[in-house]
Amino acid sequence: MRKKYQTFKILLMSCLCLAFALIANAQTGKITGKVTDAQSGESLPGVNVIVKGTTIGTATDANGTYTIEAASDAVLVITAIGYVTQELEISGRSIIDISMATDVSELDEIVVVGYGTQEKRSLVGAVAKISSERIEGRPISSAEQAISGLTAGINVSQPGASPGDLATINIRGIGSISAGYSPLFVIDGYPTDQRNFAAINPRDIESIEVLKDASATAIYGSRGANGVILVTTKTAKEGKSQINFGVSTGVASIPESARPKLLNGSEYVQFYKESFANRGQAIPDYLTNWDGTSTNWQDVVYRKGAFQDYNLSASGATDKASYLISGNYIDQQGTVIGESQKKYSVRLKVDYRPTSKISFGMVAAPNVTDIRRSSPAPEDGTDWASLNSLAYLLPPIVPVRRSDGTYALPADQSILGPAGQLANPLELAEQYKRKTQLFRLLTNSYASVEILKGLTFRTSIGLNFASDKGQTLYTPTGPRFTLPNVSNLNLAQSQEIGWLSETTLNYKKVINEHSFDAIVGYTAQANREESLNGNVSSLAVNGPTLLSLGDRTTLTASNGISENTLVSALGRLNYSFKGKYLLTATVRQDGSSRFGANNRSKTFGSIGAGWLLSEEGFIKNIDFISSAKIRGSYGTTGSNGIPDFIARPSLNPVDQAFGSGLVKGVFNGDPGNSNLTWETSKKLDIGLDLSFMKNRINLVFDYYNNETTDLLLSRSLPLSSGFAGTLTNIGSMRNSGFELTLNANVVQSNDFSVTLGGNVTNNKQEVLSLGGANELFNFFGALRTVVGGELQQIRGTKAIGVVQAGDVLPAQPTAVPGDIKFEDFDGNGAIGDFLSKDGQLVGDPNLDWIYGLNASIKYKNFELFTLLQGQAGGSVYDFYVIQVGTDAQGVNLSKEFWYDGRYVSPSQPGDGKTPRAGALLATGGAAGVGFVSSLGVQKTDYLRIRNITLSYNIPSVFSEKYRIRNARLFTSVENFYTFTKFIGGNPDARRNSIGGPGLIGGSRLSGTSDGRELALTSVPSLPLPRTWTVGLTFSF
Amino acid sequence: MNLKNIFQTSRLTPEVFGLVLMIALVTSCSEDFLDVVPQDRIDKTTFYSTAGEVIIGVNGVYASLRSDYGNLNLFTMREARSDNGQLNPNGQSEQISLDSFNETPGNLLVLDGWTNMYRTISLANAVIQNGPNATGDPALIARAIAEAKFLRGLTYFQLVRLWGQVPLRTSITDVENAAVASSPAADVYNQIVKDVTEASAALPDSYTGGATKEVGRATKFAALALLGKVELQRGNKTAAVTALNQVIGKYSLMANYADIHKAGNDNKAESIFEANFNPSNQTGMGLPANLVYQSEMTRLGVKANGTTAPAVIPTNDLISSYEVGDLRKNATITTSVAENKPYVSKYLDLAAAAQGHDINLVVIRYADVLLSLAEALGETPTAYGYINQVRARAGLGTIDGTTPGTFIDKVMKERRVEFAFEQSRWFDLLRLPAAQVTALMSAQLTAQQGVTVIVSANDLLFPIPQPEIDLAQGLVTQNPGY
Repeated sequence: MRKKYQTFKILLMSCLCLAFALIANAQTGKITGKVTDAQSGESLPGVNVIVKGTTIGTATDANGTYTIEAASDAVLVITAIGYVTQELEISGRSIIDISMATDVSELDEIVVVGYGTQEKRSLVGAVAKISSERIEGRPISSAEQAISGLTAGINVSQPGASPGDLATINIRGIGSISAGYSPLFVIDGYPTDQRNFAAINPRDIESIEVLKDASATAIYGSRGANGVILVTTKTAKEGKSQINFGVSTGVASIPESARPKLLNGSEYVQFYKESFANRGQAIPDYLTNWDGTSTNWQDVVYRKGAFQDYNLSASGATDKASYLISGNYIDQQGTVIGESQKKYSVRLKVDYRPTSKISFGMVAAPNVTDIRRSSPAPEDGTDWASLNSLAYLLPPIVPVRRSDGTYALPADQSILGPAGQLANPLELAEQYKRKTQLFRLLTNSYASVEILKGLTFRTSIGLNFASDKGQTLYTPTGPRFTLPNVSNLNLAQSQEIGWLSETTLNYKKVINEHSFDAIVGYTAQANREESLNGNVSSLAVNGPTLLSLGDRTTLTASNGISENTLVSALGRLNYSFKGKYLLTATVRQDGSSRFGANNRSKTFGSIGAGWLLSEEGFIKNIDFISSAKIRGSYGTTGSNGIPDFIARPSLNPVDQAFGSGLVKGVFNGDPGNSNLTWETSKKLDIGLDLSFMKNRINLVFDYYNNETTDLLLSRSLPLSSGFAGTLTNIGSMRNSGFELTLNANVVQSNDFSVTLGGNVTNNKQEVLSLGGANELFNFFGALRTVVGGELQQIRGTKAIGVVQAGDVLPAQPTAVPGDIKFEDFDGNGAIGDFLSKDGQLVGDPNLDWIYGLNASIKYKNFELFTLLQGQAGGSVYDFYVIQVGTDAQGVNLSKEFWYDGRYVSPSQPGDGKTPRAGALLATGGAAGVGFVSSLGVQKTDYLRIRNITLSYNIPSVFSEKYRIRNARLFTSVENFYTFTKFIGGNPDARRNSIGGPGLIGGSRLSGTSDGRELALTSVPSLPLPRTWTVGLTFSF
Repeated sequence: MNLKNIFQTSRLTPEVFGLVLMIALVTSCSEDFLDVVPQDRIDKTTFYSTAGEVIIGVNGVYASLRSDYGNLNLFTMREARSDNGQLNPNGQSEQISLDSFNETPGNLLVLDGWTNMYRTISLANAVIQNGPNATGDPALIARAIAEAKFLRGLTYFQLVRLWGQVPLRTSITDVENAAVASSPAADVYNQIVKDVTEASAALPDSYTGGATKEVGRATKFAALALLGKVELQRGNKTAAVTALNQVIGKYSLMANYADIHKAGNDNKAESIFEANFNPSNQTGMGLPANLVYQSEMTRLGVKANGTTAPAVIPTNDLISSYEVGDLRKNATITTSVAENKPYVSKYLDLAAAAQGHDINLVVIRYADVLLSLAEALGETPTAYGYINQVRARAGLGTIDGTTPGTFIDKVMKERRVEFAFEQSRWFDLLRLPAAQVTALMSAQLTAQQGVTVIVSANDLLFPIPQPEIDLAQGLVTQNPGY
């Protein structure tokens, strides 16, 4: 039938062409044409065609054709409900075919929600949608990097800048002190974690929905407290069988502007001469006998990395079945020598509908990621031994190679301090090989049956399989700082198997003006992760990665097992009256194996209501307003983001030597708590959705107030108790704020359009109670959580300038000009360190503002897209500038922080903020105090030009010739430029905790840290790369 | 018949199928499903219930003690604090402050030492409290409890000498009520004497069991030697003599001083109690990585790491205090060939690799019993006899009442060189009158730093770590002067 219609269309067109030729010169004449839907190509009946400024008009017939009399210079106005109105100049033509673009009102958009979809019209929850358009074509290897700045309320930070590093994502602020704050990721209906999100081929994503308030997230009950990110992958479009191919290639580099400014050879020599002199120490020979060497180690370590991305997909659908197969290969070289990532992914999605009432389907998406590094992992403590650290820290007076061509070392010159033992990065890159291979397979299959009209039963079974394999081989030729002195091989494997069973019953019914959509369901989920690790030293042969080649006496092996289960019952009712009064009620009961035997189950729920004001007469008549909705919701969600088994008191094995052998002993593990239960987040959201001027301007405003109670809190214990802390449900905190999103079609015409969008989020965090404690400690007390304050505020002494000649400082009687001047906060006439009463709050890490701006300019076949993204109001205690990159260590230093503007002499007093060289160690009467002081606190504000993409849609005339349905040529740049005052690297970087990533427990008594140093920078951090690519996509 | 027909011809099948499946799922998931038993750790609620588990428990206390003695921070606090050791002037300022008496309550290294020792206390308390309820060989359980009491006493003896008044924890921590007030030093000493006395009554004289693994556990004589040292430290000389006399003759001095800390010479004739290290499974001793020049490690062909800047080096004061011909000097201090600087070479296992050195750190040895007994006896011929036993082994002639100097000075001098870098000197100094210690330390530091340094009586105790005070809800008070 379709074919018959096509023939008819061609025939008709030919006739019309003939007619056009005959009447071309007429002054007034008959104009005919066909009106079709721009997307589907279907003809549109009943479309109004009017001659502008007259009452002459007609409507298209059943075939979508029209005929109208009009002057050859007249203008036709074409209007249809649900489509964008067009005005066309006749310009002497007599055949005018018109394709109508759908007028996608915000309200008609389909939004994916938990366990279903909804029209935005009927939604009462706070849900933001990110469409694939803004993800595709960008030079990224994971979608997590792409969502930054695109929607309000979500903060994506990238602590690591190497290929394969995971981003940190949180929604509406961090609402937990000790439990996880990562949102729940639901991928095609499977609730999982960020690792699976990062693994998805970004080109497979159809849309990402961000669920923010209780109404939207309560259906995920226990895991909804931190928000939910729903990822929906592409499905075949009915009626079209198509093949898409995309390729892009480019290069990543660390631009000069993003690199930390360090000292060159002569500046280094100058600074250290001053430093030793100021500390009253002899100036070492390597400074006095400096030979003029000035190595820029960043140039040695950083490189241009190639980026390649190939994508091929095929899809097709009939009313009975649909399929989509997609394959992707990304090859990404890092900007640091020896770093790379290769990602291979495949996705298969099939659906089969034997009858209109029954459907089956499955999705399976295996993928493999190969990551390579040439220095230790951040969690291995790379303060000194990562290639990037070496780029920062190696003294510039060290040459790259010795005169005989071998790699030079700082030890050659006996440089004092840790700097003297650092490795040569080129040598390290040759000797240190770290490979990680990740395999992820997330599958979900379902069967759905419409039992009665409106009543649908659906059941699904999913499997999540993940395997991580790590291999580190280091074959040193000598001792290097913090690295092993002998060759070492480490093999680590972990495997996670999880399953999910979900069964739901959905009922939809419309009775007169009442519309119901209800769902009830039951789900069970389990996860088990096992790991195995083997390590050996002193390998007999360099090269093979065999544990048996190592010295047997050094062979160690260890393993770990983690397991959890979750069982839930859920229900939701959506009700609307007259299509304008909306109500959503949600309930979910969850039981989790992670909690104490007494308190495993909890019920969560929410209620939300909305009012479509624009459906009311008094607003409907205001032309200016296209739609208006007020919505509000309140409810509870929970968090079980704690390690498995932590509720049970435990002991860990330890070895003890007696005589000539080893015996087993035990150390304290977790103290345990059998009453441990869910952290509960009470969420209030009030929102307003407005559209003006025929939907050309859309505004979404939300006020939210999330109060988390029963915080899963690692309450610090006096260290004499034998435990650092215990996990308890105490205390509460609040994140409140607003989000504003504004999108405007500023210019909208056939050939030229300008769309601007922006979003801003303001978040205020407040710790309301700590269960009786006044403050919590992190990182030896340098980070404090205080009632009435924000999470992990920085405590330090306050540096209030530089001592000048003639200053009288009673609290620092031995201070000399150039020393750091500290505030005697407690007024006791002496300066103590950060833990004394002179310590005060000198910064907090929590962002007050996050924002994004985007602009799209389309002219004919060209589009220019720009995305800006930024943050403000947070700061970090910068371990790099104040602890590692200081003259106490003999390393190279930040020029901006320590060199420029420093105090040299009374006649060169500097900028009054930068002390003399050596001051950190010698500050009069307060030696060492500066190490944890406001001097080391840096603001993390930045504005980043995140992406610029210029694309060109190859005209259909050209593409049709080659049977190409659609072709696009583009060039894109990611992380183009970052405006920031942050010194050194990446303001998002965070330092790993001392003592490992575990949450709490007596097993880590060396510090009072809970493993989440929100306010400590990485040491030192790799700047984000700027990636340029050109690419081509086409489909046929 | 295709799939479509199956569903069309039996219209009820999907519903029935669905409902059955749903009911099956709902009923199968009971509490059992949520009761996931950990397999990667030991469940503490049921542990310590058999004799074997109590022994494993006490093994953990020994393991914790190992890191108390092999811990650089505590080494610094016990040795570099004194006039024996000097900190690398280019090192971390927090470390240097431990030597120059200007550390603050926030000093993280002091906190680290504190935390380590209280872990030992906590593990010992678990054994002492749970042990009596365990099933199995009562003799074995009683021995394990006695070992734990010995280790608890030994650790409190460290704590009380470093900090004075400390929280006295003798039972398992109630995490809901974790803060414990500080007890006066005298009360801590009473608890130590009680623990060690009880231990001495229950511990065996030696371990003769077939397993070599038993050697190194606390013995009756270790407890008596410790008791003697404790009594001496708190000034009960008579009690000290009584305790120490019981140890005389049970051990003997090694013929060669340098053999005491030779690799592999674990728990030999002179040894009364040691912190046991063994390079297997990362339990090797790691102090040399911070004491020995890398150039020396390379020169001697040692695979283990050294350092370009040793954290603690011998003071000139110590080096010059060795008498001419004292064999102990070269067994303790060596001058590096490349740097031409002295370093602590007492603990060096030439076969050591990355896992550390196969050298035990001696806690109490027979020479200590001899010199402690001499000190407790006071100036008597018997006392000189004990001192001269130790001197003879060092290749030195005898001394007696006619030798210049006071008796206590002579004992202290002998102890200083005999036990240099065995983490004893600072505690030995504390037995002298405070004014004498502060004068001595002021003089040594002034000479070392080239500027006048005044050490006050408050400096004889370390500051209680500030986090302990902050978290103890007002129950723990700071030592004076901090």
